Amino acid sequence: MLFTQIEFAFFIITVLLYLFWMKNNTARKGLILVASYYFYAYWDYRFLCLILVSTIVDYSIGLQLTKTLNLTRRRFFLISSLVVNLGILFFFKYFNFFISSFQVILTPLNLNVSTLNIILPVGISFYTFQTLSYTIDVYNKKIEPCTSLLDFAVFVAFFPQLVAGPIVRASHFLPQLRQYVPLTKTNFLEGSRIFVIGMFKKVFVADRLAMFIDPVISNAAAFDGATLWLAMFAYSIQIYCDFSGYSDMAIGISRIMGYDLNINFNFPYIAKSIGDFWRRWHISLSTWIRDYLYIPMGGNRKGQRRTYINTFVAMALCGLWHGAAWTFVFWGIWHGFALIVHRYWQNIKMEKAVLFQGIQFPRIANWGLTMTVVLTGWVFFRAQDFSQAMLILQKMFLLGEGVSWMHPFVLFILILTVLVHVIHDLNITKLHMLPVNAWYTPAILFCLIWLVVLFYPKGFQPFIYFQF
Amino acid sequence: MKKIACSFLFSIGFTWLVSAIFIDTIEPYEWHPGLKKYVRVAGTVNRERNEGWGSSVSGALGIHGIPDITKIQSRKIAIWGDSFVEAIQVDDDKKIAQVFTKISAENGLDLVAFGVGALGGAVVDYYFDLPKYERLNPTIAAHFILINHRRDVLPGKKRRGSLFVADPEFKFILKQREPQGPLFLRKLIYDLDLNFLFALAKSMPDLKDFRFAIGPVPQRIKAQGHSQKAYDEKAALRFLFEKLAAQTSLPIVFVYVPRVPELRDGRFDFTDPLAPFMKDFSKMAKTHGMGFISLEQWFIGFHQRTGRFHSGFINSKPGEGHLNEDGNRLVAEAIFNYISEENLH
Repeated sequence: MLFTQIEFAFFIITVLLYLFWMKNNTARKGLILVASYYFYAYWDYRFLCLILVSTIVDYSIGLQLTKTLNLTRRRFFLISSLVVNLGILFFFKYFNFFISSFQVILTPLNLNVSTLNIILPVGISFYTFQTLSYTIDVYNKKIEPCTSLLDFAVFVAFFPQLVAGPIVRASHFLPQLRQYVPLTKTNFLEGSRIFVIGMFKKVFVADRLAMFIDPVISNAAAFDGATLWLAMFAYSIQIYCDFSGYSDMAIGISRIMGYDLNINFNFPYIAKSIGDFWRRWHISLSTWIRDYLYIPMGGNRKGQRRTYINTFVAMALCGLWHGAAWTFVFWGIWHGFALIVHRYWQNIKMEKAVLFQGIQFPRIANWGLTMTVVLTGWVFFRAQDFSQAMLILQKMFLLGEGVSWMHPFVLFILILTVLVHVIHDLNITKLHMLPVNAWYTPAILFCLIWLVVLFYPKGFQPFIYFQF
Repeated sequence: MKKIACSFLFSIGFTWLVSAIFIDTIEPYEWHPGLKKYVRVAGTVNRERNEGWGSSVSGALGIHGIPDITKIQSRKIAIWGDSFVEAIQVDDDKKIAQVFTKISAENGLDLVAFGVGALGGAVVDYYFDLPKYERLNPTIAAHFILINHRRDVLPGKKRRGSLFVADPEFKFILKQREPQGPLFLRKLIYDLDLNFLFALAKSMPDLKDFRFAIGPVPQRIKAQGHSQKAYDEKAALRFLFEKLAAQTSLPIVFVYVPRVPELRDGRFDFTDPLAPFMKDFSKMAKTHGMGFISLEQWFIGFHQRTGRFHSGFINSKPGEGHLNEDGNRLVAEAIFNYISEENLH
């Protein structure tokens, strides 16, 4: 079920009415769990069993981890969790990818392994990372294990963020389930505000931009360099508004229900370095990778060279998490490479501080360089394959000839996006943030709702991140 | 509560303003006793924003861009067609008929063209309308009929207008094209420019499309084959030409507007899948004393010279959709050339 479907409006109103009526916390959690399973089963009930397996395995392992102090046994339980969760993820998401990638090696050896007709379960990457983080945290004794199966099941399947994040940490969410949270007017207003902003970003901005981007990218050879630049700028906005829009809607619904989810995006396109970008983009994933991959590999504690290797591996895996294709892996590597270069530059600046004394690079140059790296990365992220990516880059940077298409709506959104980001970066006003107590906020929110309804695009527009 | 109510009222005002600029208008219709059909109300302005950016003023008989065609004494060219002739995506002065009139004047000919276009129109509709328009416009010199699809000339079902059926025999059935929704409501929405309410109603999904059952959604398998009984295409076309020839003594010329060149899979596709059919169609038209113009080479030549397309707008995919300003002009030029060559003036 999509947040932008009319059916979802009926669904959420029903859930909220029941939550309003129910005063018993256990019953409320039971309702949320049933609603979450229905929300997921609306797409395909058969894949609920994967969520159930993940829930039961990690819940049981969490309990077992507290019962033993034996390091070998604890390791065994941790590895069991990793094998089950990553095994499911690998099979459903990466099996065909690796088989087809290694076909080149296998065929000369007369090993004919064919790919399987596998459906990618929606949200598998998100809830797998969520359950994994719980088990690793319990193993590392950072959190106490959850003793209520109901609480744990709600944590895994909480419908607002089940299929596309934000990736929630057990330490943040499980304590919130322990006590009764009434529906309040404050939460309702604040949650609705966040939800409407997210819906506007997704439906009015992202989905309408897609109508320009999709034909341009799929016919890249026919369009000129300027159109491809515009398409890639538009894609940068589309993917941001699509994903952050979903996150906002998830956070908004949770807030209405009385639960808090951490923000997932913080104006990533004002970043002045690639490191800064990753502190603002898909925060729940980047912090997950930092805490459960980069730091356990040694982080930056084992010397400069090892830091670079760790960064590279973490980002390559980050790319692979996004999709089972080499273009995603390359996108991760590209960002990893940029992070390494940035760190190397920082080190040089520190080592030769005297040389760089008084030299300040203009903020706009830092921003421009960062955005060029990000935008180039998006080309690989969006392209179907490397040849298409190279064609797009070639036409962009060599200003290739072809059909020109400067869509006025896309130009308008581009200007609007730049304006909002400049206002935010220079801290000129808070108007664009629509503060909950500001007198103008309800009027603007109503206007946004009208715009969404009036310009609702025809046809089905899934969220981009559903495929991950 | 007061703040919320005021905010909502403000948003209505804002939406009204936005829709007055960016939302397509709903056209009011009225019954025309002379034509015995619903026509656009004279003096109303149709605003198209979804594709292209055009304003079309309706005149008498619902004809765009001409206040009252019946009062013009010059010799006239009637251009018939579907939404390609309606051409609401461009302003009136850029439509085929108006451009043709302008070219004629520049070449010293006193010819006035007018377009009779309606979304989804087909030759069977024009068959019934030809005598009525001729009666109201006695100076019509020739009829030009724009076609761009097989369904424009062959039997088929599920049409809002008149029907061309093949079963049990070839037959034209007059069917009145009814405007959607009550006429007074369309007029009221138009007069108050409340087009956003209409857009809102259109965006609401049908109740039967709602799904609350759990997935997966079973794949709908399309019915195989044609529901209609197979018929001889050439016999159908023969029937069409004979009926048309019997309906009017004036020259009839078919103008084929192909969808080439088209942008497909990153390439410009210059092959027209309808070309073989249109080749046969043109031969049969000529044997029945009717003219045929194909815009195929005009469109391809134009694209090769300028790199531009005859269809598509700044707010829609290049090479797709309705005729743009260039496309309207190319069709007008082709008609003018034909008239000059065939001495139809």
